[in-house]
Formats: sequence, C-alpha cells, structure tokens
Amino acid sequence: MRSEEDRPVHLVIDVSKGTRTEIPITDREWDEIEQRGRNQMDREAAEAAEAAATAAAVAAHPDPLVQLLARKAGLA
Amino acid sequence: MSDSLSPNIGLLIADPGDVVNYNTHVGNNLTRVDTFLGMVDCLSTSRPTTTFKGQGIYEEDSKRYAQNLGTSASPNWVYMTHQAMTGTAASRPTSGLTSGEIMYETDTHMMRSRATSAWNPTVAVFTAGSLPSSATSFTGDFAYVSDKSSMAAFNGTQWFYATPVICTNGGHPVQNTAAGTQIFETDTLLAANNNGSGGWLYEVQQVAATQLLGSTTASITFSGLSSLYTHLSIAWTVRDVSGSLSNSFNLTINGDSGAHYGEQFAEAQNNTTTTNLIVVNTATSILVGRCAGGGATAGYWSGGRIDINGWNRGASGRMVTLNAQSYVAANTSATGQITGTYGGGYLPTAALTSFTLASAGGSLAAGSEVSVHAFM
Repeated sequence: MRSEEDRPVHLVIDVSKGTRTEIPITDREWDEIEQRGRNQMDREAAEAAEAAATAAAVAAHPDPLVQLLARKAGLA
Repeated sequence: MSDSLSPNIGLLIADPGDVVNYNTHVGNNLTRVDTFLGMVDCLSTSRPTTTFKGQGIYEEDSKRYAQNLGTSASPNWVYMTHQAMTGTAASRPTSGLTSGEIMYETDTHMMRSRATSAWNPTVAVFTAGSLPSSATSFTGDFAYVSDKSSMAAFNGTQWFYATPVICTNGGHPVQNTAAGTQIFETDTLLAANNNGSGGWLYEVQQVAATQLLGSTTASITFSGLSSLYTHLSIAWTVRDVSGSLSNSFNLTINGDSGAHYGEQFAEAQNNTTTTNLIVVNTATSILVGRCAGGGATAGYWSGGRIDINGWNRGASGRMVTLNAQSYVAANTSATGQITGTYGGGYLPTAALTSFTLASAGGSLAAGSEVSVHAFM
C-alpha cells in the first residue's frame, strides 16, 4: 500500500495573485486513491490467476492440436 | 628694511621707514587692484599670467569660467562651468542653493537639477495631460508620465509613450499613443500594441509560468483567470502514477463538479476507432484526452492541447465550448497508441475564473507540465 509520504496534493495556481498553493487531498480522496490501488492489485492478481488456470487447462488438454492452437493464440 | 609685495595680486607695500612714492606705492597699486577686480575678463587664447591661485577668469570666446588651481607663475586653468556639484544621495546639499544648479551623485550616478526648493528627478515628471506643448518641445525630449507609469518621447510631431503603459483593460491610454505604443493590463495580464488608429491588437500571452510538477499531484488548477479572455489555449504533457497504460484526462471549470458538462469524442487505438457522446448538461467533467498511466513504458508521456472558446461568455450563461486533441504512446505496441479529437461544452452559472485538470486513473506524476495562454 501507499505510504503517507506518497499522499499527493492539489496544486492551485492563482494567476491574478501569482501564487502557487499546495492543498492536501481529503481523507476521502486518499481512501479512493488507496482503493484504486487495491483494485488494481486485485485485477492484476485475478488476471494472473486466470492466465495460470488457462495455461494449466491447455497443458492438461488431451488434444495436441488444441494445445497448439492455444499457444498460437497466446493462451499458454 | 625694504618694500614688500602682497601675497595674491602683488601690491607693493611700502617700508614703514621709507618714503612713500605716489606712483609706485599708490597709483600702480590702484591700477593693479582695478586689473584683478572680480573675475578676470580674457580670451581663451590669451589668459592672464599674473593671477593668483584660486582666482577666476571669464573667457569671452568660450563663454566659460575657469579657476587657477596652479600658481601665479605657473597657472593651471580648470573650467568650472562644465562641472556639477558632486555628492552622494544621502548627502545632497539642502541650503545655499539656487534653481538650476546641477548635482552629480557619485553613488547613484544620477544627475539632478535644482528646483526652487528641491532636487528634481533625473527625468522630468509629468502626467498624461500635462506634457509640454508641441510648440515648445524638441524632437527627442524625454519625460516620465507618472499616471501611466511610462516614459514618453517627443518625435517632432507629438508626444508618445515609448515604454509600455501599465493600465487596466478598461483604462487604456487615449492620449500620447501612436502605432506601436504598447500597453500591459494588470487585470488580464495581457499586452497589446496600438494599431495607429486607436485599436489595440493583443498578443497571445502566457498568463502564468509553465507549471512543471516536482512531485505527485492529484490535480492542477489555474484560478484567478480574468473572465475577459475570449478564449484560452492549454498545452499539456502528462503522465499519471496509476497502474494502467492510459486513463481519461478530464477538465472541470470553476470547481464545478455538477452535471453541467457534455462531451463527444472520436478516438483511434491501433486501427480501431471509437466514438462516444454524453449530451451536454449531464456529464460531471469534460474528457480532453488520454493520459499515459504509470503502466506505460518509463519515459513515455502523453500530450495534447485544449482550446476553450467563449471564456468571456460565462456570466451570460451561454454555452462555453471546448475542443481538444491528444496523443498517447503508452508503449511500442500498436494497441498502446491512442489519438483522438475531443469536444465538450459547459453551461456556466457564473463568470469563468478557473479550470482544473486531473487524470481519472490517479495523481499526475512529477515531470508533468501544463502551460496556459490567453487570447483577447
């Protein structure tokens, strides 16, 4: 998970005043960012598990032609 | 005992024990006093050779005064009238002065003339309406116009501002302008040039320094924008820190996260085209392009341009339209390339003063860069 040091800010450039201000994101925004990170990791884990299961299923298939086609299709 | 000479002009002083001779002790002395009375009048080619140190002469031909800094026997004539008083800014003389005297400040290198009771600025100061008349001005005269924060010059025909006039959008100069006269508006931060017939031609102006992000940033907002701009042009090069190859790059206006936007786009990824429409007043932001994600190859960035037209029409509640283009190369695969044209609209409820850019996938990465130019 991300650390507090990674916590980003909203950057506001006030053109009329010539100022540059960093506003901390809210806890809710921070939670959303962390949730997006968790979702990303879950999605990647699910994709990896699915790929592994597909590869295993292909390898276990009794028909060599199916295995060949699966490999050519990038499934194993 | 014997006669002696006075030290300066050499009057013959009789020995008290001697007999006084009228011619040598009185008559000749009177003639000598008459000769050296006040400044000695002469020509520059025939200066006196009998003046004492410190005595002055006036040269009729050069019309200048000089002072003998040498001796009677070996005079060293130095002109006085080409030299100003010298001093420092902190030690300007304040008394014993007359109008027109000149001073040179050795620390500031300023030349100052003396008015009745004060030292003048180096350049004469006027207001726009009080510059000297054309009849009394010389070509090349120069002045500072205090109410316009500008220097003005006389070109032989008229006075004109020779440096940009600092003003507001509603306070353009109406006097002393000519083709090429420049202004800078403090409220819009825009510069413009006079076209010679009363019109002002605006330059395309960057309204804030280009923002280069030094650290991860959730969003970037440009606020305090003048609502007088006719349109804005935004250029961006960004990448976010998500795990995706690319994400939607969105824009909102005036901090409005309500469903007051609409968008439509046509994109191509590899050779596949995609179109989409969200009718106006139903979207909560406008898609302006695709942002390279953290899953993109290191060093691969996305870039695009956004034009917001009718920025100055927000207060009237009229539709503000936007058009944008972007391109992302997330990696070297065909499917990693996305290019698109994006349109959008926003129904404002107040004058437009700010906009915000953010990636839907995550915060913007350090190194992302955005610049904003305004049109009038």
